[in-house]
Amino acid sequence: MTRPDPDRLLAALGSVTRGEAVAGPDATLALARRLVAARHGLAKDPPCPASARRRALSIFRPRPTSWLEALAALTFDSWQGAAAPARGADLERLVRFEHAGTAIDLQLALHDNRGEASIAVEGLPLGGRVQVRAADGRVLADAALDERDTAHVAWTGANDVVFAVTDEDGEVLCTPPLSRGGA
Amino acid sequence: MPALPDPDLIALCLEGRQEAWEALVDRYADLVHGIGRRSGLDDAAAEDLVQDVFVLLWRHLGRLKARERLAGWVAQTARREAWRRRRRGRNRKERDEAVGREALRDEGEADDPVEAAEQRHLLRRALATLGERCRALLDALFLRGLESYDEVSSELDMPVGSIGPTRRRCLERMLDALGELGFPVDGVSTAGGTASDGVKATRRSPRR
Repeated sequence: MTRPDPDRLLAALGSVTRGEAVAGPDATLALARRLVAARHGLAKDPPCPASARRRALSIFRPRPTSWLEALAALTFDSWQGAAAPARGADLERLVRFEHAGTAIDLQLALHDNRGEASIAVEGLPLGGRVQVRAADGRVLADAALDERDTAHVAWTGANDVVFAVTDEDGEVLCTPPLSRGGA
Repeated sequence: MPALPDPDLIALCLEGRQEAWEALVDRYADLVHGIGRRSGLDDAAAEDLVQDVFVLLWRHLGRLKARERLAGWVAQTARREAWRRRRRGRNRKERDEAVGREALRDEGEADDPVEAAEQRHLLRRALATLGERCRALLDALFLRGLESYDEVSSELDMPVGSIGPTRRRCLERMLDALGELGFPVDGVSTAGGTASDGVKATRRSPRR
């Protein structure tokens, strides 16, 4: 890379700023034009407001580094207080799991070997997908989260299922196995 | 940490270091917001754009192939997302007004508006590496073309005799910083060029 001569560049900068420079192919003059235009452009741009910076800063959260770390912990299960005879019935069940600022709410209807769920995810920087997986890893259902980070899925073929939230980088959240019998 | 190059900050973000993310936000928020405003977005939409672009950056951090070219990625992404936002404008009149306000590049800047935005960003970063006096001296040159040493001396409260050498030194430091950041300062003729470069011989001798 050839460095410009500072004296010639100073002269060119002064000429360009005062509008005295004539057009020409010279590289020093071209650099002076770029610099003056960029500086004038900077002067026109208002700085980014502090409120927008705060919103950008709030996006950060450490990424789970392994499947195990991404395993969410149960924080609420509407069945926990249910009478034992009701636990096997085809009742709707509300479950919430949390991990590292991310949460997944499930409204579950588990039947024999099939089920359906309404899903709401909180704390993701952006939407992603939700997969319903069998204990052996088979994907039974897969749905994209909508703009409100919600989805609805239905599946057949397994009694024990895992819900996994993924984004383009891979898995970010996973529940323990869920069944009609408990979390 | 604010002085670390982009690839190092990205690596630290991926390790979970929040201060690295703060440094990236500090470094690029003005660039994104500026592109939003130049794209015709209003204040609120430009703020939303800042969030959108940083969300995308967060999502793509681990997959950025050329981490040293982050400024270009941010500028390109900001422009694309701003265009999408404009396109979603609530009605045709608003869209037309937004397009009418569009001024992505200034006269004399690179033809590619993304490249122009990136160059503004790099110049901002290069100027930020200089001291207050250097920035003031160069701004007097960039923005007002001050050539009279008496004017500069009066405006910046500097001895006339120190203006020439100081300004030259400041310019060299700025060029060093620009070169390190990737601003295109190459291909420039070396010392001893002739008057055939198209620059009028208008430089006045300093009045002392």
